[in-house]
Amino acid sequence: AEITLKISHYLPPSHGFQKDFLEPWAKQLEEKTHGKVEVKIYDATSAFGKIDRQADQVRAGVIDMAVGLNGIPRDRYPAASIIEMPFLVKYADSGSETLWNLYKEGMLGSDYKDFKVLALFTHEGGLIHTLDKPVRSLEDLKGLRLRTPSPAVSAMLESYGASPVGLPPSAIYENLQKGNIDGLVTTWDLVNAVKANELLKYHTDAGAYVAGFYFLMNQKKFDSLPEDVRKAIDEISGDPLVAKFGGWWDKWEAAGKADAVKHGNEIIKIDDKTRAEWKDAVQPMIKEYLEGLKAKGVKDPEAIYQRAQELVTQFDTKYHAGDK
Amino acid sequence: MATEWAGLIGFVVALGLALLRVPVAVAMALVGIGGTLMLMDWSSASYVMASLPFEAIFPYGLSVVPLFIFMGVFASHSGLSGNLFRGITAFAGHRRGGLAASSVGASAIFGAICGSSLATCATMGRVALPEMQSRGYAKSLAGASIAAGGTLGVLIPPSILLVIYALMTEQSIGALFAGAMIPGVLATVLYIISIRLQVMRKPELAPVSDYTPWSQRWGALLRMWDAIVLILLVIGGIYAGLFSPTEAAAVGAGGALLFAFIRKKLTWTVLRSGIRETAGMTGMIFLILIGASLFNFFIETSGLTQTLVNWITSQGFSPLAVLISLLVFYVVLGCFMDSLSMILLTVVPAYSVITGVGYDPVWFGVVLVSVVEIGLITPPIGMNLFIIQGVAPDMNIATLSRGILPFLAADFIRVVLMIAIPGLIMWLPQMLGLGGY
Amino acid sequence: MNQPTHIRDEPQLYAAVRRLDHIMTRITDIFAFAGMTALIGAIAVVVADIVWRRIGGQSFIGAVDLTQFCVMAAASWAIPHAFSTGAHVTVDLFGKRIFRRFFYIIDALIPLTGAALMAFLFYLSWGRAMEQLAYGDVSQNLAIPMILFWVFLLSGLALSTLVCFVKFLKFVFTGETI
Ligand code: NA
Ligand code: NA
Repeated sequence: AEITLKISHYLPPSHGFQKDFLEPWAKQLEEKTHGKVEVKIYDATSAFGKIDRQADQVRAGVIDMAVGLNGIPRDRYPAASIIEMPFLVKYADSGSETLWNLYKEGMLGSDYKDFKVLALFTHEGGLIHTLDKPVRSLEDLKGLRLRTPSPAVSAMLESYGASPVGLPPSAIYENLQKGNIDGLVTTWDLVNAVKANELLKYHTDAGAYVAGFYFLMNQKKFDSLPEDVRKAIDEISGDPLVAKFGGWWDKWEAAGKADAVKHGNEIIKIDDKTRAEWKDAVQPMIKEYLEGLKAKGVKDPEAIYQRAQELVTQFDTKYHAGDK
Repeated sequence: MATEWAGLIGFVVALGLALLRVPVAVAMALVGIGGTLMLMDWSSASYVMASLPFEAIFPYGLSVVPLFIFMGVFASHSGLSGNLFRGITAFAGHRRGGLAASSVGASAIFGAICGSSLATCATMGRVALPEMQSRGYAKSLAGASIAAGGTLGVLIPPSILLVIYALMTEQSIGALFAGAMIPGVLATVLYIISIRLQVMRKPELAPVSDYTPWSQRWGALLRMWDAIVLILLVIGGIYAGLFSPTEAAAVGAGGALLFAFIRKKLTWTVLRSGIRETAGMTGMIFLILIGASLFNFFIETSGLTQTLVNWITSQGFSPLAVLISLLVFYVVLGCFMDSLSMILLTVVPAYSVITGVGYDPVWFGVVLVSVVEIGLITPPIGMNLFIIQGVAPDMNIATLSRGILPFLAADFIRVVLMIAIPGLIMWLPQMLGLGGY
Repeated sequence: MNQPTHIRDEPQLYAAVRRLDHIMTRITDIFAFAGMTALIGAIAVVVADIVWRRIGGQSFIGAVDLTQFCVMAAASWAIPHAFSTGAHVTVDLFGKRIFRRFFYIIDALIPLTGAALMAFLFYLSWGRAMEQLAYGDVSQNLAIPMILFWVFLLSGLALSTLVCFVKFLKFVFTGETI
């Protein structure tokens, strides 16, 4: 092939990011360009697999495209972080479409400037997983020590009277086992990856939060490509790509959920009425968070949050109207 | 040229530079940078390498290293080691070879406070060596029992080498500490048996000391309280799940400082020399970590590790043959190199090969540390032997080398036992439910 | 190690180099003390976190960030001290008695190589640190600017470069190692 494009991400090669998302995408690009482009994928085990450096290495031009987590390092994409507000997003499809539409509508300001944005997406609504104290109501959260994935979730937990604890994924199992923490707030995917289902007993499915992800390309590199290659990239990115994440996350999450069921754990489903109450209780914290974003250069955070809520409702109706 | 060959040549060059007295960290960094620039274009290589020194010293898990060093240094200055030695001597000193056996026992207990072999050896050397010499012990036995006892400093947890192995291979520090516990006790027992057999064959090696009456024994035992408290806090705290390793190390470091103060040993001079000692060891270890991160990045980029693993598995060697060849390699390398450098230089490929043929990573970590520690007491370059010489300049390496042979035999028996009975290592971590992800 | 093997004809230069070396030793000493004070700070932070958690039942979210911050200072500022006192591990297979001329050259090259290496690492780290400064990156929990962590490393590397270079000068002018 005359052109080689390098893609990096921060997860192991066996993860769905590589198997279901990037490898088929790369193959599509190679086929569409009739072999003119060859794609090399660098996973977590490579020199380019550091989670906090995915976007930086694209900007530096060392890597052409990368998939990374918006929240690490923190505060890089302040406007996009609004998608991570508690109880905003429940499903990966609505969340991904919402984030992507906010970007297309220009609501995200300068968050991804200088990048060719191939896709933005979120995961499926995260759960509250606990050892032996089931979380059925807000009161149950009081005094629990829970491992938190992000500053937004930390703030939410604190406002409910829980103690958020920051831990790297590799320390989760041991700390659960010793009872240093009572549980954790995260996806099925991560719970499964750290084999925590064998320790946990309860999983409260409240669609508590989501994390945002990016799939970015170096703009200069994109501009330097021949027209047919640029066209091929555009055809398989953006709208058609963003639409696929709902299905993918269903698949990636299913494995962790099935494993929990196998261990005989209880999955506590929170109904929409209770979820709305929980969301109300956290409004002061959300207001404070949005206010804080102004100092980080976001012009009108309230408007973005407003628009995000509209979009989520719109996509939930489109995709999940028949779920209940 | 295949990149794997570049990796192999780089390994040989790093070893060669180290043998020319280039500091090991500098040798590893030079080869790592040079090799990476050969394999990658400048912009990628410089971009990736720019983060390596920072990342080599930034991880939270590494904070246990200076904390354990701090604890060991201040424990040795607080007079705690002397009380340990005298406490055990009160019970065992009157037997033939009892002072040598007591120094091994005190090293083992001190090893449960101190994370480094050299510090354990130096501390016990200052305390026990003058005592044995004044009682007419043969130089070979006196020096060798302290040099060998010193290796217990790393084997018995806490252990800086196990921490570094754990961080490099993403294993649990708690599981490795638990795994090393029984082998550490076994090593102590075997050393003491070795001393018994030596003095039975040649009674002139060790004259008999006075019997300590029971009234004084209790007093001597009581004076060991601070050591016992520190051990219970640190090791007990980790095993009982009270503390994470970092918390245990901080509690231990704070405790050592506090006990030195309570015993009125914390003079301005002691504080200053303790801080210098801690800084020297910390700087040395972290620079080696930086060098190793550059070197290991190059080795991984060269693909040497994967090729080596593929080759060994395709040849159909038995796992035991692979393990034994590797261990022999370490013993030979250990004659010339220090244990930390050896581990950092080789652990990336060695770990892949050994887990590739099916051995457990925690088990291998304990065996690896046991074997590289043997290098500390093998001539011509055995750091513990040099330390004994530093404490007692009248001892020459030839005398010490002769004296160390029975202890090497004990080490050999221990390694064979650990390989033959993996449960010696694996039982305790499994009992405590450590490990997992 | 304190016997000058061949004192040159320039006693002033000789004295100046020795004084320079002495000053460098003092400076690295001060940095090492500052670093170790930070380490004692880390001990205090961790112990406070434990006490606060066990007794107060609360958690101290910033403990990890603060510990890393202190240890970064301790480690970075201990490295030049280790160069200055010769604490870095070397392998001495041959002793000093054989191949004297050969090892004389090696002995001169080692500090020079050390200086070059530390300078190169400084150059690499500088670039990355400026990138983090430009992005305004902060630590995960307490939002401590990451550039402060980098300042520790950069100052440690810069000081190590100077120490190694002065050791090289000292060896050339006085024949003394370490
Ligand atoms: Na130890
Ligand atoms: Na040796």
